[in-house]
Amino acid sequence: MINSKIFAKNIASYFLNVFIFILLINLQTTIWFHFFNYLSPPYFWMPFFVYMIMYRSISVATLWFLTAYFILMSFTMALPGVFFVTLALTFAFIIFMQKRFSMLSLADFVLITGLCCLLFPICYFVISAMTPYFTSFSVLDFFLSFALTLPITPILLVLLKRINALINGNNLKELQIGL
Amino acid sequence: MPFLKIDFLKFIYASCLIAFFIIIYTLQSSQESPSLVVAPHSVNHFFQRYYYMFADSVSSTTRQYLQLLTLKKELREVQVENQKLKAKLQVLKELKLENQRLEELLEYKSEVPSFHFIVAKVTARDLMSDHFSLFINKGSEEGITKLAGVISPKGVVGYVTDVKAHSARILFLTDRLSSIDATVQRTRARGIISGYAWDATKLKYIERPEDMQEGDLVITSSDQKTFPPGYPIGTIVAVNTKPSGVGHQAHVEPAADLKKLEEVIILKAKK
Repeated sequence: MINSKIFAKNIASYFLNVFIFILLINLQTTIWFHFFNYLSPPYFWMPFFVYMIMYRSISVATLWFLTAYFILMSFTMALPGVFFVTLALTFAFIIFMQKRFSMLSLADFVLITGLCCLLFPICYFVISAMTPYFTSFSVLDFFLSFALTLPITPILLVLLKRINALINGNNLKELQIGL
Repeated sequence: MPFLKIDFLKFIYASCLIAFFIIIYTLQSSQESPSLVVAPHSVNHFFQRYYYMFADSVSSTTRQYLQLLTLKKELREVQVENQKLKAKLQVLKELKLENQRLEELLEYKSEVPSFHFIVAKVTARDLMSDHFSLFINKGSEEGITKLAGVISPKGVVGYVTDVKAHSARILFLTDRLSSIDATVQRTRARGIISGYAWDATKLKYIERPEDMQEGDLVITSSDQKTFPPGYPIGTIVAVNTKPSGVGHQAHVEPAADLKKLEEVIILKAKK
């Protein structure tokens, strides 16, 4: 009985987070686009991605990596292979950082999200260069997206922590986040 | 005699006082202001003047304040009215622009009878900034099919790559994954247009360099079903005469202003 309750809560938490993830991506592709046209948007989805990997067990984090990949792919024309490898490298980087450092404070979270925002486009550029359809690299877009993502990261961390606490209660890692 | 017993001194004082009042009365009734009354009058005038000034300034200030209050109220009303009028003007401007765009569409529609036109609004852009694709608010329920051509009144925009019930994705001709059959209008040389940057495409696989030159108009080819034949794609801005792979290349600037698209036209071939 207890197990089924926990299972139901986990499922509800998963779908709620999927919903939040889609909202964040839409914020980037629709809302930002309508207000700022083609000005480089911040990576609204990146703090969520980092959160779901940093503060979850490795199996749940892997599930979130795959979920994020399939959701993100529906919003872009990027080559699936290139995008998968890029996201996998970002995922591996977060796991690497998580294993070696106690990333539990707000500053640590902002730092690791910022690093991911720098790593992701670089990996994407390098990997796409190995295909016939290699991408161009815009330094302005690169720094603008990075700079715009940093201020929204703490806000999203607070929101994600509170929302997750509401539905399923924060896990031990989440409870230790120093805000 | 007690009758004559008068205090002489008191009598003199009383007489002097009466005389003084008589003199004053007499002098006041005359036209001239003698020196005797100048002094109190001056003092009085001084106070009157400054009292008047004070009272006048107070009353005028009060009056001005009251007027200001009224003016402020009126100003607020005028400002509200102004805002409403501005908003109305903005709506009218938008309507005028929309009207112009729709007029252009109708003009073009009458020229190209072999296609149905579906006008859709742009809703979102691609997640990755290096890919040039957009989402529109119409899908298969509205008759949009995969690989349907997308145009604007100025030129070719791209084609549909993904269709959902009420939305679809358009791949711009400037995206590096896009390929469109094209013809140089002047020489009828054929090639493939594919993208590489926001405002630039490449015309590839042209056999002879003399088949293209700067300023040539590139149009859609005649033997395809995606686009109407002869519709403008762009203008050649630079020619690369060195053969790359098979044939020569030219840089083509798209005719459509892809960064300012609000509505697009999706072509549906008539059966």
